[in-house]
Amino acid sequence: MSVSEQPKGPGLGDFIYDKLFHNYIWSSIFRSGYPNTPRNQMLAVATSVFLHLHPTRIHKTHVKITHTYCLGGLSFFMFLGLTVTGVMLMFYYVPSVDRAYSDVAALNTNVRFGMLIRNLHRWMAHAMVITVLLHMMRVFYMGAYKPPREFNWVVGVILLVLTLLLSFTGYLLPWDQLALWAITVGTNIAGSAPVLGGQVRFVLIGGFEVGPEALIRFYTLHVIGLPLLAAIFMSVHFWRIRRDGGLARPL
Amino acid sequence: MAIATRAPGGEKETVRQKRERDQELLVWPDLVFIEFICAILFTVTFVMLSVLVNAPLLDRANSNITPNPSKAPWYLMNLQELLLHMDKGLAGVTVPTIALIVLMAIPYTDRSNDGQGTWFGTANAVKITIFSALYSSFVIPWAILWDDGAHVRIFREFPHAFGITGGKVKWIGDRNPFDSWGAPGEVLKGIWDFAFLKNRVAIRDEWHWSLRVPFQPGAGHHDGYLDWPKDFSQVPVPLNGTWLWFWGKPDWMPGWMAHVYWYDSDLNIPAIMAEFVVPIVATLFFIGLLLGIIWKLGWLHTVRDGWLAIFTGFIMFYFSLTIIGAAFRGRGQQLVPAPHVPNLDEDPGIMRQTSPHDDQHYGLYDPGSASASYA
Repeated sequence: MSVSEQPKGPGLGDFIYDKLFHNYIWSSIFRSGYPNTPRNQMLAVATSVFLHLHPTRIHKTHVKITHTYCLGGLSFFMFLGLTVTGVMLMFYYVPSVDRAYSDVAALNTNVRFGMLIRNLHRWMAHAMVITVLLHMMRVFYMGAYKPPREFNWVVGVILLVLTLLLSFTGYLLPWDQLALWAITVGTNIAGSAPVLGGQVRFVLIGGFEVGPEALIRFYTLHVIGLPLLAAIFMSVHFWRIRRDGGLARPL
Repeated sequence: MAIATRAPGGEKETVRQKRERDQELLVWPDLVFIEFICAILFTVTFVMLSVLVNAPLLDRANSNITPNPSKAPWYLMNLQELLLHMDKGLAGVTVPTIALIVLMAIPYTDRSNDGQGTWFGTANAVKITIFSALYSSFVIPWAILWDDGAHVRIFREFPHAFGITGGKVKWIGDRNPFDSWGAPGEVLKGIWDFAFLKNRVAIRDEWHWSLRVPFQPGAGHHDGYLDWPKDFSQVPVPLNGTWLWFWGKPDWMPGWMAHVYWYDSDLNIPAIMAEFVVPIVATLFFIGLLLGIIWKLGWLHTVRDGWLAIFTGFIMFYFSLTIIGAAFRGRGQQLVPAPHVPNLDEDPGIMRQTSPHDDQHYGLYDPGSASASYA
C-alpha cells in the first residue's frame, strides 16, 4: 500500500495562531492555553481572580435560563456598567450648583459620545432597579430564601434599599427641574417621619431646602459612599451563595 | 438526595443538599459562556437603546417654579401615592419601614425546606399567586377610587349620562330617611351617613352627629350635646399637664425630654380616624380577607402559602400604586384619566432642554449663551 498523500504542513493560519498565542508576552499573562480538558477547565475557574467567585462545578439545573433568568447576574452587570459609565461622567461633571447643569448640558452637546454615555448611565440605572426587583421576585417565588439562605435574603433586601438610594441620589445630579422637584418630593417624604423626620431631612439635604449642600451630599453618596457599601454587601451576598451550597434547587 | 445536618447552635435540623457529581457541569465552559453571551447581549441592547432614546434634561433647577404636578422618581411614586391616602409619616416612613422589616422576616418565619428551588413550590402556590394578584389588582384601584369619592360621582352622574334620569341623582348619604323620627332619627342618621361616607376624609370633614348627654367630658364649651367632629377635635392627652391634673410647663426638663413630652397637647380624634385608623384598619382588613378567602378555599396549608399571598399582594400594591401615581395623577395630584396627565413639556415654567445648532456655543464655555438659556 503506497502512501499517495503527504500530511499537510502548517499553513499561514497556524503560523499566525502560533505567533499570537505561543509567545513570551501572551504566556506571561495567560499561563496555559485554552483549557480543553475538564481538569484545566476547573483550574481556569479556580485560579482566575475574576472567575474564582464561581465554584468549579455546578448542578446542571442551574444553567437553565428559566431557573434564574440571569436576574442576579444582570443586576451585577448593571452595577458594573454603571460604574464604568459613571466614572466617565465624573470626568466632566462638577457637583456645584453653578456648574452641574451646564456640565450635563455640555455632555449632551459638546462632548463626543457624552450623550451616549449619559443615556447608558440613565437607562442602566432604571434597568438595575427593575432587575433587582425582579431578582427578588424570582428568589421569593422559587423559595430560594429558605434555610440555610435566610441571611442572604436579608442581605438582598439591604442591597435593594441601597439600589434605590443609589438611583435616588443620582437623580438630583443633573440639577434640572426634574431632578430638583423629584428630590424635593422624595426628601419631603423622608421628612414626614414621626418625631425625627425634620432632623432626618435636614441631615439628608444639609439644609431646609434642596440646594448646594444637598447637591454635594448626594454627589458624594452617589459616587463613593453608597457604591462602596453596595460593593461590600454584594461581596457578602455572592460569598454567601457559595457558603450556603450554591443556588437553591429541589431537595 | 438530601442529607440532614445540624445548623450551628440550632435546635432544628436544617437540610443541606448532597453533592451529586454525575449531575454537575463544569462552570467553564457551561456557565461562563452563558454569562458572557448575556453580557454581550445586554451591552448591545443598552447601547442601541441609548442611541435611540435620549435621557431627559429639562430647564435648569429653579426653586421658584414648582412644576404641577411634582413627582418623585418612579420607584418612589407608590409612596407619593400612598401619602394621599393616610398620614404623611405613616405612609412615607412607617409603612415602608414595616414593609422592609416584614420582607426581611419572611425566611425566619417560613423555615421549612419544602419546595425550595422550584418555581412556586407548594401544591396550591400557582393558584394562590394568581388569585392574590387578581384580588389585589381589583381591591387597590377600587380603594383608591373610593378614597377619591368616585363612587359618589358615579352614582350621581351615571343615570343622568345614560338618560335614565333628567338630572344628577342625590347621593344616598345626602338623603335623610329618618327626618321625622325625632331623637332616635338623629342617631340613625349618623349611622346612615357613616355607611355612605363619600371618602376617608369625610369622617373628619363631613360626618356630623350630635348626641344629647347629661355631662360632657373633654375641654371646650359644654352645651349638653356631644358633637362630632367639634367635641372630639381637641381631646387632651392624659398627663399633658392641662387636664384633670394641672402643672406648669416643665422647664426643668432637658431639651430632648421636653421635645418628646406631650405638654399641653391635644388629640384630634377625627383626624386620627381619617389619617391613621381607617387606612390601617382597611389595610389589615384586606390582608386578612385575602388570607381568609384562601383559607376558605382550602389552599392555605403552610406558612409559605400565606407568604405567597401576602408577597404577591405586596408586589401588586407596589406596581399598581406606581402606575396610578405615574399615569393617573394630574395637576394638584388629582385623579384623572391617563391622557389628561400633563406632560412636563406643557408647563410654561419648565422646558425640555433642546440641543442648540452645532455652530452655537453652549453652556460651559460661553457665559453669554449660558445666561440667556438659563434665565
